[in-house]
Amino acid sequence: MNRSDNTTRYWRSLNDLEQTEEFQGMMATEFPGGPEEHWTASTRRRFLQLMGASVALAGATSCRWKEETIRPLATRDENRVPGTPKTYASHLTLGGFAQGTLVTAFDGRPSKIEGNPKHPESLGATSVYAQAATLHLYDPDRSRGFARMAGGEQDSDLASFEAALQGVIDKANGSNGKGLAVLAPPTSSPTINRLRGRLLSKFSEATWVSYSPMSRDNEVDGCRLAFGVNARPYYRMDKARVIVALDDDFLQDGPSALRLTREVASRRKPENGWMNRIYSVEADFTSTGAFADHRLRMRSSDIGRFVLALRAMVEGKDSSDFSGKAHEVLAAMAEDLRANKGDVCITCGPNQPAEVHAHVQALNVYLGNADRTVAYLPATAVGSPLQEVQALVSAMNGGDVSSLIILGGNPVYDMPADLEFGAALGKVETSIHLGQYRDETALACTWHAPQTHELESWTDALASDGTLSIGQPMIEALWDGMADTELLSRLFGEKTSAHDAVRETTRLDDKAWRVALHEGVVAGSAALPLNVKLGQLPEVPAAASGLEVRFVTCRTVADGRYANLGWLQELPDPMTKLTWDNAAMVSFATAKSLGLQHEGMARITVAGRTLDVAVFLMPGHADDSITLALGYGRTAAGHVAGLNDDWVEPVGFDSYKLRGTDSMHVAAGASATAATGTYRLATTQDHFAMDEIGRKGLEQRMPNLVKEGDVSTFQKNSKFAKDAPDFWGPEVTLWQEVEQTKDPDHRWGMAIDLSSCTGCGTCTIACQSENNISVVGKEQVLKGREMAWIRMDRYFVGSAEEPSAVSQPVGCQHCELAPCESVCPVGATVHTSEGLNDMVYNRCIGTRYCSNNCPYKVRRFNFFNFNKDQAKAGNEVLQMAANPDVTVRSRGVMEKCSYCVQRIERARIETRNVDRDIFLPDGTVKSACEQACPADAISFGDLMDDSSKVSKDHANDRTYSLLAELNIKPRTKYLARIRNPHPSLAVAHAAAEEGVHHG
Amino acid sequence: MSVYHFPRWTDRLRPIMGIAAVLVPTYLVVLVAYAFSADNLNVGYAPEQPIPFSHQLHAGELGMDCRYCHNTVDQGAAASIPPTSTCLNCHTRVRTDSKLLAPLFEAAETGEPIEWVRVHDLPEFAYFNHSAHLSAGVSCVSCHGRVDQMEVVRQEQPLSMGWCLECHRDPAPHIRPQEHLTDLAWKPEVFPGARALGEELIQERNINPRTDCTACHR
Repeated sequence: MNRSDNTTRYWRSLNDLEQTEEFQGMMATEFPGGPEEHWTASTRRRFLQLMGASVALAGATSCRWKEETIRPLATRDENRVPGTPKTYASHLTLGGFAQGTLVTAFDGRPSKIEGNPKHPESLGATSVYAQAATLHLYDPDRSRGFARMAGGEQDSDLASFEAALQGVIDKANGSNGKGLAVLAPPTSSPTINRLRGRLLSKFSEATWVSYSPMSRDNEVDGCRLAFGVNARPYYRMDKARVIVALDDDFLQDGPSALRLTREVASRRKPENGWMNRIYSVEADFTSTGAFADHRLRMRSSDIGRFVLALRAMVEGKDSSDFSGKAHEVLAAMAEDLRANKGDVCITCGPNQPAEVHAHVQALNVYLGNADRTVAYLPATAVGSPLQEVQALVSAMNGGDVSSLIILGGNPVYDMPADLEFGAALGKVETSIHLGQYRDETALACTWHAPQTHELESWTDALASDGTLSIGQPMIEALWDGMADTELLSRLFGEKTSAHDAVRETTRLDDKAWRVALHEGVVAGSAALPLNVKLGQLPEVPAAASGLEVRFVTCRTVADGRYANLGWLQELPDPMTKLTWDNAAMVSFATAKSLGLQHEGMARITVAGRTLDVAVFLMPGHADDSITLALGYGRTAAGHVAGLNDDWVEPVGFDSYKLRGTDSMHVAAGASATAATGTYRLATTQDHFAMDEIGRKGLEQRMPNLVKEGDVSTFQKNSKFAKDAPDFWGPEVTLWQEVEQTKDPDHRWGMAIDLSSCTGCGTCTIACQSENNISVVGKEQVLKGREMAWIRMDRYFVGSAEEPSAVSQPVGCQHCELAPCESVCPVGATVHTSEGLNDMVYNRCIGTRYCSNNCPYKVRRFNFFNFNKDQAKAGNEVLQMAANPDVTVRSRGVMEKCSYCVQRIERARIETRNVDRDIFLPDGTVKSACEQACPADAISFGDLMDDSSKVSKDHANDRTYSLLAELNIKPRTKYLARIRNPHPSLAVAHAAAEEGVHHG
Repeated sequence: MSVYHFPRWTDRLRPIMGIAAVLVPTYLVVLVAYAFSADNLNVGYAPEQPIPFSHQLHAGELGMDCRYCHNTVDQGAAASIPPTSTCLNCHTRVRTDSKLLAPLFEAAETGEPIEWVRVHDLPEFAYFNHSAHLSAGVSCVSCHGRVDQMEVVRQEQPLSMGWCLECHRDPAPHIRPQEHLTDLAWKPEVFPGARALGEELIQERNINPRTDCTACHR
């Protein structure tokens, strides 16, 4: 082992790289800090509200436990079996576009979201946002009724609200709608758009403005500039041999992210033929950048220049604009694009101006990609131009708007700061807010109406390819909410239900309607691509010099709408591993020149607006650039994300305060200085580090934990990831081989393909939802006590300035010779005949020996009863989000991945009831993580069945076990990651791979 | 010091006290354990129900099959207490003037559920599934006893983990042919006897009751 070369180093964080005392401490104590009482007065309120549900086992106050009653239905539908879940096709929308879902409901309570395999933009996968929809539905902070907000919040009722609405209608009737304005998020919903048309034709003077803080409309504007049509580019990457992402995290962001992940990942398996090659040019380190074969860090402002240079290179003219690494990447990229014309794909991110989008699409057309890897579909869910938003606000300020209806969204919080929307709202006589929360906007309006969740009402929406789907209500509205379509229909003096409104729009006959509901999509409704002709291209705006500030949608709480969901707050960001906060991400060089410190405070100024924000030194971030995630600093979100009225401090920093109408995406000419104070950021990257103590051991170990190689290595030796038989010396075992008393029915196992994994974290949230995992809060995360059963490890490789990165999901490995089992004094963790490492909560006395002895550090301990307050008045609704098939754990017990044993048992019982054949066919049982994974990176199944997917994956040449030298025979195996670098750029990786190869 | 001497006769108490020191705690432990055992706390539990429904009459004398009312017992985890509408299949014509049935008609009127008291109450961390047991050939009578002879339903078996495991380890005596599952009075022929028949069915129906923790606790 000779690993002096710095480029081969794997590290988890700066603390790790520099071996600070903090990291040493984390390594030495797996659960740092003692179990002292954690609820201080100031943090108590937040914990009172945290997610979970407690099964109130009655105390031993009498000899028998509490008398229980059974309340059967008065009449039960045919085929309804109490306690047996049913699954319905529906959808959830984000950014106005639909993602198909299958919703599992127990006795009419939706409790789990899965993707709909028949939906073109889900393909069976889900996003983290969709997984958290059940928590959203049952959030106790949701608005529970109508309220008159003018002159102090006052609960009201439907009748009074309708009377107020009648006032608005009367006024509009008298003035032909003058003074009436509707502000709504852009949507593809045919019903909303139909009602919008109807409203505007009835009240010709009324205005309707669509606004979303996470707009992707620059791509529409770009297509209009390039082709003269209203279109959105629609990428198809399964056939693309070379993919270039320009400032675009297409694996995480946008309405097609799930499908694109699936398509890209399908061509990352070297044994299945050709691999695609991905280039990412980006400012912050995104999942796409980590997944790419080549990543170039570059300010967002410089991307336009880069596109022009790329075009020139592709046309054979060398550009002198770039030098060094940028020039090398540019040359390789251009060569690849030329060589694979028609089979390449260039994408451009939402932060780039329309002109750059125009040039990117021109390049796509030039390379012959149109109708092959990119289609141009009629643009839907387009927001109003910013000028219209500005015009609305000035009309409000001028007193020209007497009635404003805010149809969802939270404009007071998320409008550009320079519009001062909140102040303008105060000048509107009647302002009506329809929303799920009494949020910042509700507080500033005169009326508030509770909006139904998508799981509570009928909706319709299009997928990004134009396919229509219909959202079914899974449960009656919990708080008598009103759907947006219902509010709109009242403006016509009608009380059309959401169902009737959607039904009227779709014009499907009864049979087609029922088929559409069953399938989750309306077959054949996808949009036809437009024929585009390239026009005159606009000038690309000159790159502004100096410091830029970029605003990005948060990968966990989006634009702030999911801020109150504890699951998402505690989900580590895929790259920074930051929880419960956002921060200003800067590179080392920039931090040094600005005098900023990691976890120090910075004062950022954009056009006279300032924000004090914590600093996060991000390896691989572009210089002279600061990235700020939106969606934090909420003051009226709820008891999780911040609620001023109840003394709950906001989580994170409100980046919207810096955003202006001239800097919606990137603010040029910003300045930043160090501010006083420090701020602790709760990152999970140093937690549960696998057992090597000290830098040297860690460095040696990392290439064995996460194995990767170039495609050339793979071609030379496809089994490079396997350790040489004698590498670790003779195989000896410290444990007695498990005696198989009888032939098992199954041998459960899992395989995770690191070549496909993008590190998005969907598996972690899917697991959290399926297995009732607690949220612990920032203070506990700082102590390393997060409970997620799947830890998404992210390792950087190489130098601190220009690292590459790789993600690895690690859950319980279900070792056949599990070290945890032999040290448990009470037999609380034992093996099953089918190879599961069972955790028996009722036996566990909390010694934590098992975790101490676990080499993978995948066991989690309940230091507190994180669910105990769910029985409190007002919070009971949260219990409905829990999976009734899984025990809710209490204080003092260990827990960990169970391979979704509840799914195995349910499938076994259901299959055997029909057929006594004991073998479950492959695919009958899917673990929650496997089912949710957009990249299809996880396979779970029976190792006794040679034809099962997991058996084939275990037999794959790339497969290896984590810490194989311990000889504890884990049932979860990993498939080594293969990179496909351009030969001319492969040098750095060859060195890394040398290290991997020799262990 | 002699004033502190115990009288001589107390010497005879010493062996008695030695025996008592062993026996009394043992007695107390056994007494408490027995008093709190599932046998004593649960077996025989027969709470009063909102309607004095007689299984003896319906299942016994009238000979109704268990599954007429508990119709999901072979489909899902829960056997299900029947909905009000099931009762009304007959009771719109039968005994419509009975005062005892007043809560039933009231429930039918309002649509509110009748709150039956749970007799067989397993802890929440035990995931019992009726359909799996029926599919294997375990009759109702194995756990619920002769319900067809009960005027008021009472718990017949302790339903403790040890009791469950007895059968999971040795299921043969409790496995019977599918056609006799709800025939509570059914007895196997003298030859070959319950065990031999059960063993035969175990082979035939591939019955392999598991004793892994996660078979019941998840």
